[in-house]
Amino acid sequence: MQNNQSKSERQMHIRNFSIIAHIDHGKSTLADRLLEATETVEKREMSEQVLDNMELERERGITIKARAVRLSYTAPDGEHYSLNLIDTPGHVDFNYEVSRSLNACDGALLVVDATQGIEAQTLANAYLAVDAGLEIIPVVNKIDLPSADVDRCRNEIEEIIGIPAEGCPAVSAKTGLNIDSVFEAIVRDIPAPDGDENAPLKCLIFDSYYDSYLGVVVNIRVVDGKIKAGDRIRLMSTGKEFDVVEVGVLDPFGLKKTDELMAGDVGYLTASIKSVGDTRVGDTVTLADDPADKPLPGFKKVLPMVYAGIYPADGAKYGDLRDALEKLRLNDASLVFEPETSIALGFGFRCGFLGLLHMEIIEERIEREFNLDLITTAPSVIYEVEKTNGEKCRIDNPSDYPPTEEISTAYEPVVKASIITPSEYVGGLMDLCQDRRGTFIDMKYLDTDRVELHYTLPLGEIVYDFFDALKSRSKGYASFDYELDGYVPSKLVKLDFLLNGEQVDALSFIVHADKAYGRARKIAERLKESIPRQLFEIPIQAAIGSKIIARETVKAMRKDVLAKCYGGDVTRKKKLLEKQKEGKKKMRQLGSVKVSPEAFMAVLKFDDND
Amino acid sequence: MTDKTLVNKSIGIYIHVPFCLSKCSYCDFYSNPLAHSKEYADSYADAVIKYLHAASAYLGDRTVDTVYFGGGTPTVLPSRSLVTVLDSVFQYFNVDAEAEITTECNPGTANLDYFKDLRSAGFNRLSMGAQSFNDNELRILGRIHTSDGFVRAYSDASLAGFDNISADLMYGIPEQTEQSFAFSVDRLVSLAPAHISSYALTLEVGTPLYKRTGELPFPDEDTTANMYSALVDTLAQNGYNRYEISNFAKKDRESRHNLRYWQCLDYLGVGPGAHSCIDGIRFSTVTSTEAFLSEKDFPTSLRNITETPLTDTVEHLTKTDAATEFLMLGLRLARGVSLDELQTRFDVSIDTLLDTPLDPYIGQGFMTLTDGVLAFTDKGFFVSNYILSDLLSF
Repeated sequence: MQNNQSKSERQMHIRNFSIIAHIDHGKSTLADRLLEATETVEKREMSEQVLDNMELERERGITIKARAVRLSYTAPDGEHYSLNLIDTPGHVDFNYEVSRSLNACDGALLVVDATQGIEAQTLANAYLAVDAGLEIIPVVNKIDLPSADVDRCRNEIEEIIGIPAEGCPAVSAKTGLNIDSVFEAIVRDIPAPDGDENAPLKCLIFDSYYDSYLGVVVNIRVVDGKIKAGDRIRLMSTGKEFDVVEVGVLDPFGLKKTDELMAGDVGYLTASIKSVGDTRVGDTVTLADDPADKPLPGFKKVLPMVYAGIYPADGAKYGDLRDALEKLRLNDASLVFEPETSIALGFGFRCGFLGLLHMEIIEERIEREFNLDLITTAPSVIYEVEKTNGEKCRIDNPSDYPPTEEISTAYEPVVKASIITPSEYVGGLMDLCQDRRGTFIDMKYLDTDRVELHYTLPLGEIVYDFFDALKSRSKGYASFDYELDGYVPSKLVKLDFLLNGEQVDALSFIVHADKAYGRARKIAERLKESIPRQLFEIPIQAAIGSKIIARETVKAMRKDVLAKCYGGDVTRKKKLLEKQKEGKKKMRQLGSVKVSPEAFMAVLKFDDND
Repeated sequence: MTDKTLVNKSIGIYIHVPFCLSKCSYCDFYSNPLAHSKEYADSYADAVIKYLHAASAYLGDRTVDTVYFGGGTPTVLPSRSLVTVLDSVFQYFNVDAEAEITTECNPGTANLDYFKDLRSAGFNRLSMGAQSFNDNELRILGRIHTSDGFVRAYSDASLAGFDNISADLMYGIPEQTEQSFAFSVDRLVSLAPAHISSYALTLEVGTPLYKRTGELPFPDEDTTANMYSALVDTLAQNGYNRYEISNFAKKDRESRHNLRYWQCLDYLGVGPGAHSCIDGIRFSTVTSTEAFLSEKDFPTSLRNITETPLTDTVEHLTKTDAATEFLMLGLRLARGVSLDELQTRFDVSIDTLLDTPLDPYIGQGFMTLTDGVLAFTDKGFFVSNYILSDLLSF
């Protein structure tokens, strides 16, 4: 089964693998059981889901960053193995990181929920694994549940993905049932790593993070050669050089220093590196004085796909927000930001994200870990504009959108989307895609009651809660995956909003002309509902250029009187006025109009009916 | 009227009677259902008299120009209780011959003889809660009387010789409409009381009405604004002058006691939960009838007050605090606030009290500043809360 002739005895006892799965199919639980079964982690030390150690990851049940851990496994025949489990992010926003992590592996466990069968993400990740040339071992999970259907699941794996699944491990990660069969399959079916220990060094970076004591810790798979402390290394994409301080392996509870790492090993290195921006995922590490002739294939610098303005709800916290973003960037090379000023919201930052999930995660981490309240403007994708004077520009901020008369052609990014759904929801989901300006590509029956739909969709339509709409129209059963598919010409306009005759820059966004009227009306209505009555009447207008396309009015406040106020009430009434004053202080003054941050956010939220 | 002599030398006395037959659904004032506190009620007058006696030690040189019995429902006590308390006020204090002496009174708790007892003891003003002339609305409010009951009590009081009667009306009651409120206003005007107070129902947290918020249809902001507006018009047409945001009086029939509050003049409040403000010290008595009744040594000086456990809260008002309150309360009055008086009494100029300039509010017709007097306009009264919380720096 394996060609092991070129592999060393050391390499024969290493397996590098990852676990891929659709969200909720039990990836993290399986990882926990593997750790526990190898006694790498004592059961009493286990909190749930050792790998997902970011609070947010645990709550959302997803892995945000790649992570690796070495398991020590003793086979029934007495042989000792080092099994390196490289955990991959489980979301489409991080597809590039997934592909790099997979490239660090030789095989993958494909976990499929025996009660759900194959889902879009299972498929997408399985294809990534196939593309990376990995040996795939299907693992049917959750067989303890009454509705588990192992045979159907195996059939699906064979028919839809096209890999043999007969006799593949069928387990319950939750109870630990049949976990041994997974280990046996790993050792038997996943190839041991190859690579020439004596060739020039080539290491693949699949993750890096900042540690305040060690500097950047770089997680690597050594492909060829060897690396030890004291070596001078070079990062091949940038040519930057560093001196290795330490190398080692990744134990479940931390780094374990070793003398050297050799071809086939998975581990870490530190080299007094200050910024994760220097250690991009996918880059190749080589030795400065004996460099490899060419880097490992597949490196690319990931670029943000979605931009939004992030502002502190309390303008005085601008400095705190900057500190928070800088701290997060230490560990997240894909987060980009630069200062931005909004007339409406004051000082803040224009931030770029890999996708909506990434954006939500950053927002949540700032709010939780740094205790800041934020106002976030509507997310925008990057548009491209060809001007009449021949100039081309990329627009990530509606404020920079040129006036209509200066635009020759505008382009918007589109994605190829794949949706897997029970057939009863197909109609509703096709309506949704139609409504979001999708172009139908094809439709495949996966089995009698499940369908895979393919559409081309504008990315700009997906960032407006497409995922929530999809879930609500399929009662949560449909799954969704997409990849960027370039730019197409599009009829775009910039929609502005005016309160009391003054334009509120933070509310502007770019939208397809056919959608402009509907959105304008909706948002004008929502502004009307959210803006508290004030001493004067407030006209709300939506405009494209100088043309008003929707209007609403917030009527003037009619009555705000403390009815009674006698001797015993003075202190209490004073407190009431004080409280009202405090409330007003939290409001944003948009020209002459006061708007609460909550109202602002309410306006920017979209729902299925938008 | 508010020269320094008066500020220093006069005082109003408020006597709190913390008993009711039953509690109204919107009320969060301190009171006990009478049925469960009969023994307290009997000894209550004695305790108040002792308190007044002790207080005369430091207020004996003041002229008492208003006395006000409030509650609760003062008239759930036998008339002799109110009478002996008032007698003791006359005995211990220097009461002005023209003093205004009021008791609150709920329809259904007093009859003709009762009113006669009060009138002959020296009470010269009544404040009666009508609230509504629609019996369904009265039920929602948890009032113990019907609209007919109010009319009966009102005529008994008139017969007993009370010619200075104030009546309360409420708007913004669940299920109330502009029509039903207009009807109540008309009915009340036809009785021609000397004074009318009309309040928007305020939902206080924890009251039975508050708990029913979800199930009852409350009139919205526009409707209550219309009600208030119609009220102001109707009362003006019938010779009532709106001298305070929610208070309307025929000529010379303003509530002199309540005017003391709005002008920040001194008052002594007697009874559990009652508030006082004397010489820049505001204090309140603990909200416990039991504690009040079992007290042996009531405070005999302002210093004692801050030291006795019977005192709940004490605030020493700075000049800025006091001046801010003077603005907050004084602007409730139609005549407004004299900036000279502000300067003289509190030694501060208005600029130091304000967060934002007055000009826009004057320019847009919410306020006027004429001959050194700052006042809300009609339009400004409607939204005075909003403007005050803009203006004042607390």
